[in-house]
Amino acid sequence: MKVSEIMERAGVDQTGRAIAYIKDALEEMNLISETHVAATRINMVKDKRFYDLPSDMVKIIDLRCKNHNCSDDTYKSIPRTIYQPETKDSDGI
Amino acid sequence: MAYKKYAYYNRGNKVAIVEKEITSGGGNTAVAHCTVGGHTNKTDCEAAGGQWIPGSSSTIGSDSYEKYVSPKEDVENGIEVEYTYSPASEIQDESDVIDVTPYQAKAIVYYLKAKTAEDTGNMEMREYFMRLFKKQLEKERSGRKRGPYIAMGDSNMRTR
Repeated sequence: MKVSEIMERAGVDQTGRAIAYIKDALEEMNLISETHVAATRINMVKDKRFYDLPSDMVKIIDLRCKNHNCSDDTYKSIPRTIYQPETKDSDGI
Repeated sequence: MAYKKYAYYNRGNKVAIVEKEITSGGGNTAVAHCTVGGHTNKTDCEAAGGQWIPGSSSTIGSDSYEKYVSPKEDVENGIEVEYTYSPASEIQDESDVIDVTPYQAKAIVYYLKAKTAEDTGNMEMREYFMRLFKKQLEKERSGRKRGPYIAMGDSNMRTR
């Protein structure tokens, strides 16, 4: 559906405001019901603990690692730790 | 290829990946001794009616403990993130088509109406349309499910 059609149905005639709210709605929709899903892969680096997430990400659905609980190069979901591990990252990166 | 165990936690806008490391500590070695008197060899010990306890070269009661540390080696494409994103950047003007189903588009109409009501200070109307927005999304999701659910086992359920 076009932006103009949505504006007509909602009775809004200010384009800029309508587009801003439509963008908000899309974000909200992806938080609630996962309408747009994507996957990306990141290189794991030795001794690097913290990784950037995709900038357009709204919500993580799953996080998988290669060879987690297996040895055939497949990706399996990894668990989230309840507490942060006692061994801190020495350089904070 | 090595078998590994990973976990994650969140820190600010980043995700922290940690790998399980198993470390074994040194235990104790048994020293050869006699149960009777201060005999230092087996013959004297047994002649005195004692029992000779041999020493051991391997460690007894060695400790091993697990801890999570930063990844221990480079792995190309080692992390896979599945996520939802907002296609907001694709919308520039009125003629653009929003990449949603017609039913989801109707939910956006309710959202717009809710926000318009919020701008005019009509919070009752805002809540009403927001409720319709969420209901519309839920109905859209449930429309894609058919038939019974099946339970599927995973690797953690296997018999060891």
